Amino acid sequence: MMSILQVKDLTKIYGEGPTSVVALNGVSFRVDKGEFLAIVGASGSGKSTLMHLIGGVDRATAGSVTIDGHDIFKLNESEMAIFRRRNIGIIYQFYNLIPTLTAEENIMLPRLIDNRKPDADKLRSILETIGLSDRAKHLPSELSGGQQQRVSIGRALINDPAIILADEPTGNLDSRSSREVIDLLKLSNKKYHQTLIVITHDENIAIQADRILIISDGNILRDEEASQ
Amino acid sequence: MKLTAKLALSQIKTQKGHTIMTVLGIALSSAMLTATAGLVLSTQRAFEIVLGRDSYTPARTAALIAVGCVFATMIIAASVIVVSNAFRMSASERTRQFGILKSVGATKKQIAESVIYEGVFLSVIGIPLGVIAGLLVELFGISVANNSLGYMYESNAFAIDIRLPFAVSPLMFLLAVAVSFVTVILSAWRPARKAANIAAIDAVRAKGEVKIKNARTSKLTAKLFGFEGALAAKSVKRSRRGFRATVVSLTISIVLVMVAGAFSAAMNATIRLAFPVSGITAFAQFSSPIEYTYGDDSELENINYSTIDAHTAEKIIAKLREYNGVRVSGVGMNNITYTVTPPEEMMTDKTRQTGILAHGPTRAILMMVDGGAYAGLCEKAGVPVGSNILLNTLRFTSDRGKTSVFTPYNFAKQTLTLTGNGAPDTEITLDGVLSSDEIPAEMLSFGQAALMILVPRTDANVYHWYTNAKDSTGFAEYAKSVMAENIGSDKGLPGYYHVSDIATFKLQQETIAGTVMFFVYGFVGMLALIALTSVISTISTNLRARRREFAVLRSVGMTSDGIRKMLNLESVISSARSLLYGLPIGLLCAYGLYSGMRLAAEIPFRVPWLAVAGCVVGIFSITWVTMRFAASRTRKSNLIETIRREGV
Repeated sequence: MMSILQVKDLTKIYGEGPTSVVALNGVSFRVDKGEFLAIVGASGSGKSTLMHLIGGVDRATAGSVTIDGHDIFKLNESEMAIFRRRNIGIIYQFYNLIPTLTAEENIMLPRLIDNRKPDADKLRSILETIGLSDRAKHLPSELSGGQQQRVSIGRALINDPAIILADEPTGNLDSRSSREVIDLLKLSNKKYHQTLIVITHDENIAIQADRILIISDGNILRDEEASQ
Repeated sequence: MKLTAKLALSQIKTQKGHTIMTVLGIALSSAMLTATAGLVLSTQRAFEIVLGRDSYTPARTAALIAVGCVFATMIIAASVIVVSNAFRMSASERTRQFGILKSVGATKKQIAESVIYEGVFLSVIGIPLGVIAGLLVELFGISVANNSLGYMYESNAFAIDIRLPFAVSPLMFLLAVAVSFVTVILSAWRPARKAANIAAIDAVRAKGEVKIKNARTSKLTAKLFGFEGALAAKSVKRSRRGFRATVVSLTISIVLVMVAGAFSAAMNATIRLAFPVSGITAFAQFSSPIEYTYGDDSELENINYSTIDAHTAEKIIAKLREYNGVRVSGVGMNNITYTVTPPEEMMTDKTRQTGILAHGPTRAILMMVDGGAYAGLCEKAGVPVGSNILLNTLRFTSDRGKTSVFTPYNFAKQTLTLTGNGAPDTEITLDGVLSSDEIPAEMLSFGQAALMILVPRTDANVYHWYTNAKDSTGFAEYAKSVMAENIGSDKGLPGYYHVSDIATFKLQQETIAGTVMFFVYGFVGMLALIALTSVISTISTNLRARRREFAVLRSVGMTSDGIRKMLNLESVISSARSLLYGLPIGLLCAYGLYSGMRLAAEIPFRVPWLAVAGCVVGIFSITWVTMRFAASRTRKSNLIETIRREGV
């Protein structure tokens, strides 16, 4: 089976000289299409750095990240931006919705930026999936935290990206909303055969993944298939 | 609508205060550009009306356009500096938004575009408003200019009746709108590029531009102003950017006000220089024709001149007083008949230093004043009427053009020998002395030179009659007829006469000066206003961006009073800082301006204290009021909500 994501010898060092900090120390792994991977680690372990590098919002010191056959560090900045909008969906702990746009518009954001016609059927389907059909015209401030996170999941799904990256997607939610969000992510994984990488330190999420990657001090400590 | 445009529009709609201030700034700048274009056009039309179209018309028009361009450049420069602050603040507020956009794949170009769109939308509101306001300014400026031009014509100062017509043209509108728009886009350009260059990762974390440095504050600050003071000093030091925008705009205003203040002081000084004797509204002058005859060996043989005696002078005074019983005083002098060599021991050190009396005999100037004035001066000098009084003052201008007034002689009661030119020598005894500040200004209007002695009576080759009559024009007419009756070869007093209506002339000068000042202050005032719009919007945006900080401070138990105290101190610090930059720069500019004007007139440089005081009071009150107003609005927000909502 072909890998949708291939990370090779990925190294990230912050700062220079004696005060430099090695955040990632030559990490390598592969993710197959349709896989649900959980990356687990304590805070400061390098898992967020890894996520930023895969998402193309930060540049590595060494190594490569290949998504769907493209070495993303070989792209220039605007090529990277266009690649990101079409191939990567990012979900943050703090939703990161634009407060002045409605739920619907926030979901459509990657398409609007692409100057592509909004696909009404796709939008309807996503709104149904995330269960916000009746709230499409609401502003983020009129939605609960769980609902806002569902909007950001919708935004990540809109372009059928090659991979979805979720950074502590439930870190800011109560247990009920957390469960809903996880169920939704799993659903998209199954329903759209969506590749999903979730960064978390919540064991309840991690055990639901197909595979768990445990990171510590910038190195992969363990890489194991989930025991389901 | 494009997404980038839509986001720009919603930023404009949500940040109303900021938007209003920026629109105001843009409108003011475009109003000034419109008014400048309009005034250039109407001046050009006025020239065409008065002078007609000729081969010089293109050259004159080009000169006018050049002047307009100089002003436009100043307006554009000030506007770009100031308005770009507004865009910078707005862009830094949107940092998070840009981060989100970047993380979902927006390009640099799209981010920059969104900032530029803000400029476009603000221009759409601001520029039309500005053009309308600019026309009103043009109309007002023209009416002020015409008012004084009309007066100049009516009071015979100008031979031609020149008035500015109110003129507009499509090209002028097009130019004003285009230049204004370019100004706005120029202002948005750098902030847009900066916003585009923020790394997506920093933007999402909303660190953006704000680089937090570890700021140390002195223990003294903490001791003097408490914890709040230390906190205020820290926030000013840490978020330099936010405060720098405020400080830059305030500094510009200070410099502008100082320069205008210095300019007006210099103009007034120039007018005072032209009219040194205050209170005098008109004067009449008799002066004798002077004929020098030279012998074969080209040595001076004889000087032929006429004189007016004390009796005739007093008679004319009495005649002049008949005009509504006004006060008339008289001063006469004889600076032809005698020369004198003052003895060495009589000279002061200063006189020796200048070396003015080192080259042999000097003129002995004998002066007389009307009877009443003479008695008064004798009393001032403490000598009986009939005495000769030394007028102990000298005005000296060095080769470098530096003028000084000093005391030339050590007075002692003594007798001097005066050498007569074509007249017998005579001896004169100095009985008393008057120093510079005791001598009436009228007596010094002949100049201050050589050796001046006030005598009871003499034959004067020059005589001045002064009045402080209110109706100076009427008096001047009357005085002319009196002069005509008394002066002339056929009337037994050969000589020339001249009557001057000082008050009217002075008024004319002041009218011109006043009109010039109106335009200078108008120009500077509007530029300063543009700067103020930026001060207000940057302060309030800065405070809004710090809502969370305030909420956190309150949640750990800082009182509203404490926050207010902190903000007060912050406004004091930023005011003080802008004064620190603005006052020296302003003074320097003022000195430069004075150096330029000194080429035309001998004026002393004075620090424009009034402008300085105005700046100090103005700056402190503006920042304080703005801070308080902005703070009172942020205080209304719910504490927990704020902390939560902004939580990152």
